[in-house]
Amino acid sequence: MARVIAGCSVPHNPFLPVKVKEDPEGINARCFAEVAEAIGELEPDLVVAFSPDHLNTVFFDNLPTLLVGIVDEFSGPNDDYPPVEPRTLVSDPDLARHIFHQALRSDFDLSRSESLQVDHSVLVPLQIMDISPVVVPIILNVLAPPVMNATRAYAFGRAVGEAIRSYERDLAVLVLADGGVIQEVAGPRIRPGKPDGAPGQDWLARVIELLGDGDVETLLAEATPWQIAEAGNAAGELLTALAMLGALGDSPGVPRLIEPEPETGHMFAFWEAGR
Amino acid sequence: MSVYAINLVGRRTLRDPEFARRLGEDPALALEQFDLAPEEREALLAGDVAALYAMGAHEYLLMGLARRGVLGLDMPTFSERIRAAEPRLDF
Repeated sequence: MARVIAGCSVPHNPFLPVKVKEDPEGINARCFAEVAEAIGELEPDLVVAFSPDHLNTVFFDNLPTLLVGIVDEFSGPNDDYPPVEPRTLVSDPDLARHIFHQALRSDFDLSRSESLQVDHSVLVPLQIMDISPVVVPIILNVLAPPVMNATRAYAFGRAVGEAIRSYERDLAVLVLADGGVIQEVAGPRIRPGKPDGAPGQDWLARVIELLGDGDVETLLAEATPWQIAEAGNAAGELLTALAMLGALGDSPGVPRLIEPEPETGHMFAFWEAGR
Repeated sequence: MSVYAINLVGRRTLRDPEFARRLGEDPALALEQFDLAPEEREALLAGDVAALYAMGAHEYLLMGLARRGVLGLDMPTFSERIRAAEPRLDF
């Protein structure tokens, strides 16, 4: 049977590939290297990725809250950020179909796509870590309000984790979330002359504190829609991390790595399942 | 109000180079095909992203206009104008 062996939360800012190259000793380069090393040690067969979409793959003509790609492969980015290299990732449509089906039976009504392109989201961390795993892509609407509750994102992740663990092939699966914790992109709270800002620094510190203690329950209680909106128009990306944590299983426990990056408002975190 | 059409202009601008070119050359003509309310059309032609945001347009799609340099917008202009808007705090 398939197993969820680990989970990570990493950022996907489209300018990070440049930042990491320009500042190889900086926090982003260092933490991406740590996550890549942990992934290398655990040798997952496959990645199930919980990612946002920035209104590139889907749009207001047809905007699902939850979407799984059931594809042989998928490509991107479809949002034309030059630092993000075009690439095609191999997927696993059989596992994706199993997740879709099992999630439905767990009362999560996902949408499905059998022809998928993605934006910079999941591509950025893979590019920086220089890995090309098999990826089953799951897209959550966390950036076009109203978005689902934090508790619902976590419960969805639980259902995905159960689906993975009920899959008959022997696969070691890494669940990956990409996104920030606090961030304003293109909205009124951006920094002068910049495309983004990082309001809600207290919230970032609180999220790091609670996750560092393994206290997901309190985090779910405090991550109200209002709290998330106050922390920036992209702060809903925390929901991808909550879904990832749900998929890890009963208790994510204390992370192997957890570090905030306050300037852009994201975090790096890595959990090994059952630790 | 047809906020959908404002968002669609942003999306088309980012994803369709031919449309972005036409919007750059003759904005009024390029916008004719969209079902925009008069005040929406006016705000778009003025590059007034704060007003468009206040009408409910999604800021990511508005930034697409600045990324493509149309409607008198570039990133510094966009940044200055959107920062004058009142945050929506949608949830």
